[in-house]
Amino acid sequence: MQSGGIGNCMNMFTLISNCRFPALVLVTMRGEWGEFNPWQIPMGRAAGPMVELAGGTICRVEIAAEVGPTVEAAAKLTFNTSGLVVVMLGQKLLGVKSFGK
Amino acid sequence: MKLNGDCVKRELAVQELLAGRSEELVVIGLGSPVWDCTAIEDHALNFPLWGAMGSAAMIGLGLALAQPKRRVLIITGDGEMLMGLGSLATIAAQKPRNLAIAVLDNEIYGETGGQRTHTSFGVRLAEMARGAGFERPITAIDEESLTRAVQLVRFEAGSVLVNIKVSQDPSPLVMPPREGVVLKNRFREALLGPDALKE
Repeated sequence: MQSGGIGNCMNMFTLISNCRFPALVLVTMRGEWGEFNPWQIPMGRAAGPMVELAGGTICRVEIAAEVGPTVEAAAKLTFNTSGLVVVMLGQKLLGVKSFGK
Repeated sequence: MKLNGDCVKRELAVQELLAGRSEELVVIGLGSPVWDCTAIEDHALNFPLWGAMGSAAMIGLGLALAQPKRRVLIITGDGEMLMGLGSLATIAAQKPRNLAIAVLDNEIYGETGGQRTHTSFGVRLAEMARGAGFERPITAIDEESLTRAVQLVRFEAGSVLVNIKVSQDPSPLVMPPREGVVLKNRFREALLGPDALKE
């Protein structure tokens, strides 16, 4: 999902902490590096703190060569320890959505 | 508040839905449906929710996809279903053949003081399910249509939704365990065997 989606998930994240379900989430970030759309900024800033409030672990990636190893490590962490793990793929890594401007 | 139209006794609806139940995996939306189903049996293959309102149908979808040979029943209230309407679209897109939703629709939020839900204003959950792509969704309003609804929910293949208009009687306050990990582990053990807890 994109970073805004984290905001829609908060109540569902309580399932993960209450029942200790494994949940691996891959998030493409908006609202940071070179963002064009101001409406993306609030959830871009809030997504990380919200995951932490929900008791999740964040693995952040900014370099393409680290995506594979990070997702692999995050998957092990998720399913070996049963919890919420969020891989955040930074906007610097993904490239800025420019709307042709 | 009184229901807008005809309905069946809530207790009867739940008894019929679970009559002779054995292998079905039952996800129960929080609040009164949990007390209703637990009053019949605190079954290890029940997964009753104490929170995460709006998630029952999606938990059911996950189970149905993971366990395609087992029938998955989601028993929930109208308020809980209304909070997760997007799940109808997601279920219809996946089209599991083993998933059935039974909504106990009393048109009120019974746990918080009886405030009206959208169904009391005429929102028709069965029609919303039909629009999403569910096969043969129905609304039950009397014992005859309840019998048909139970037949659909328990025995007919496909992605099924029945909306059962039920009386506003309070549910018996029979509670399952509250600890989420206990509920998860007893469910997993009953479904997968004792080795599931060693993983």
